[in-house]
Formats: sequence, C-alpha cells, structure tokens
Amino acid sequence: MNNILLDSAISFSKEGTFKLELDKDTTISVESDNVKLYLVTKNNIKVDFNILNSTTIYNITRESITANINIYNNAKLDFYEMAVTDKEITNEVNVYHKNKETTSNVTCHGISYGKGDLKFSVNGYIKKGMIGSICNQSSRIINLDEGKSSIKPNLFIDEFDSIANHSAYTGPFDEKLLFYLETKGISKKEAFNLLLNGFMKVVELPIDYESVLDNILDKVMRR
Amino acid sequence: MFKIDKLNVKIKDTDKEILKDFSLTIDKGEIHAIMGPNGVGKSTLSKAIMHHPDYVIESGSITYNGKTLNDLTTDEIARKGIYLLMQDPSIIDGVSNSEALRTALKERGSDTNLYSFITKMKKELDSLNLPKDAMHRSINKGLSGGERKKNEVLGLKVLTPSFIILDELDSGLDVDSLKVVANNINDYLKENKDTSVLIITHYSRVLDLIKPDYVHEMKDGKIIKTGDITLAKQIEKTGFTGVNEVEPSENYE
Repeated sequence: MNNILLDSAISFSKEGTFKLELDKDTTISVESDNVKLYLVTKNNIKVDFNILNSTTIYNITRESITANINIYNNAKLDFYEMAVTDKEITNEVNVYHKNKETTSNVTCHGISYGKGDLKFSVNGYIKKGMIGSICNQSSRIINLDEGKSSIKPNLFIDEFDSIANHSAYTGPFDEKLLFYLETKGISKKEAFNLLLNGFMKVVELPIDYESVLDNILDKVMRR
Repeated sequence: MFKIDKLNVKIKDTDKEILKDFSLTIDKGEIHAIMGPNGVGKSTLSKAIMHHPDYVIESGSITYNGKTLNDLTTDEIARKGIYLLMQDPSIIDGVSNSEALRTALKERGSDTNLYSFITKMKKELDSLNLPKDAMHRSINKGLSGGERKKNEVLGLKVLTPSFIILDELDSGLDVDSLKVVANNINDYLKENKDTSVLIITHYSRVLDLIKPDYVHEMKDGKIIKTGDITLAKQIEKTGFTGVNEVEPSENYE
C-alpha cells in the first residue's frame, strides 16, 4: 500500500493498491487496469474521477463529499462509500457512463448516530448510445439514537440496451438479526457491535485501512 | 430438567393468544417431539422459550435445571445451554461464522484460543460436508436452505448446548442433507448423553432419523395427546386430530 501526497490532480498509470487522504478538491484519473484506491476524504470536498480501466474505490468519510465519476472505454468501476456521522452531511455520487459497455457498481453504507442527518444522493447516467452499459446502486443507512437519514437513488437511463438496478434502505438494524445472534449467547451489545462492524466492513479492507474505520466506529460503539 | 408449566403466550401488542396453559417436562437426555398442523403454535413455542421480542409471556413459567427463564434475556437463556436451531436461519452479511461463534464462546467464558477454535471448526465443517472457507464467510450468505441448516448444526457442535430445540429441521433439506444433519446431531447426542432435545415438526420422517422417546400432538396452543413413535406414525397415516377428519356419512339409498 502506498501513501501519496497529492496535488490537486493525479493519474494512476500502473496497477496497484494506493491509499490517499484527500482534504481539497481533486481530480483522479485511472489509466491502468486493476487499480485499487483507498480514500479518506475530509473538508466537504469534490472529487472528480476519470476511470479508463477496471478500478475499485473505497472511500471513508465523516463529512460531505461530492464524487463525480466518468467511466470510459469498457471500464468497470466498483465504488464503496462508508460514511459515519453525527452531523448533517450529504454524500453525492454521480456516475456518468461515457462509453459503451461500461459498468458501475456503487455501494454506499452509512451510520447516522447522535443527532446526525446523513443524506445519500446517488445518481447514475446512461445516455443514448451507451449500449451494453450496466449501472448498479445499493445504498443503506442505519439510524442510531436520534440519527436521521435519507437516500435519493436516481437512475437517468436513455439507452434501452442497458441494465440498471438500485436498492435503498434506511432504518435501524433488523430485530431478527439481533435475535439470531442473541440465540447464540451473544449479548445485545456485542451482537449490535458485530452487526455494525459487518455492515461497515461488508468488503474486505486492508488492515491499516480497517483501523481507520475502527477508530471511527469505536466512538459509535462506546457512545 | 426442562419444564414448562401452564405457559400462556400472546403476540406482542395484540390480544392473540398462541400458547394456552401449555405444559411440558423434559428430563435429562430425553428426546421429545411435538407434532401439529400449521398455526397451532409450534414455532411460537420455540421462540417463546428463547424470548423472541414478538411474543409476550402472560403467565406460567419456563424453568431449566431449577432456574426460571422467564426474566432472562435471550442471550442469557442461550448461555444456560439452550440452543435453538431455527426453521429459517437469518442471513447476516458482513458477520462471519467464526466471528459470531468465537464471540459467543467468549461471552460464555469458554476457551477462545485461535488455534483450538480453528481446529475444531475445520473438523466440524468436514463432518457436515461444508467447505473449509465457510468459517470465514458471512453467516448463511449465498447458502442454500440445506446448507443454512448445516451451518446451524455447526454452531450447535461448537457451542455444545445441553438442551437443543430443532424447529422444523427437515424444511429445506433434501433427503441426503437431512441424513448428514441428523447423523451429526445423533453423534453429538452420543457424545453428550445428558443433552435433551425438543423436535418440532410436521412430519415423522425426521423422527425416523432422530428417534424420540416421546411424541406429543399439539392443537390450539396446547398438547392434546402424548405417546411414543407410534403416535407419529398414526398421525402420518390418518392426519392430525380434527384436521380433514371425515364424519361417517349416512348411507341413503
């Protein structure tokens, strides 16, 4: 894993795994195949992505972010957003399928706790002529305490020969899941913590990146 | 000894009474089966024992080894050694089998040494014909109905309960998988002779594989008949009491 001090624009022309901390508006271009980006974003920034090859992006944030993602060639993008907040923040993800046969899978998971108000706005655009493109979105926010949340999942599809799906959920953890874990002899608190961790780490994260998320979740678990 | 005495259970926030003066006593090492048609309260019984939040105990008591379970939480009941093998086990994305079971052992104050835990898990996965990597997979995610039941038996063998509730064990299981699951439970019972079992089922086929000492027929929230395996066979042949019974008709000529 590489830590990179960033200029406001950067491109990746070699495959690999990269960890970035972003605190200002940035443009990221991915030219190589098999690039994995682990981002921690701060300061309510805007990040523009130009994706020219298969790319996986993970973003952890406690603040608002706008991600504008342009996908070119036959590129496939897997984008994971993990937001934890007790403030009012908005995460906007806009995915533009700029060429034929481009694929996007956008997964946004969030925790709104305390007096948090977390909003996800996830927009997928497939214009006419972008034949064979696939645009998938899955967004979930778990509300804890007095936390509020909303999800606006939008698919703007002008091409018949394309596939688009979305799903969204906001609310508390399902009582059924807590009950299941409790029947194994796990206390409600530990069961809740397992679900919280599982929900936020639904994808396998590198250890040092996982610790960033642990630090954020620790505050939620100890509250 | 596991004892239910005149238990009355309602669905939460309603007046709907599901269990009515239900009583049952199960001694150490005994296997009891409860049979009955849909809607008589069989699965409610298993959930009420484990204090499912959808049900409220209005009156009566549940005791295990002399201790009343009425005021305990679900996890406390489980840690007393009671294990519910659910009819429809939940899928929990992001929480692995090993994480959940190791946490459950830790909560019991049991040995959670990683090496011995992994060794035990591998052995039990093998005996259940489940892949080794199943321990690191999300609980029941991507598994068929049968594999989910096997996964629950895995939990049983790792957590070593002394009282097992099998709620519709055979639902979703094909013939071969049912045999694997039943053989594993029988092996466990051979190794743990004091373990008691409560089998909840519609059909007698599971009772051919896990032999009960007593069979009870349930209707309208209570037990109406008790016998041995022959009662199960009779039910299989003639149906449940009062269901689809045909009154003898007069012969008009």
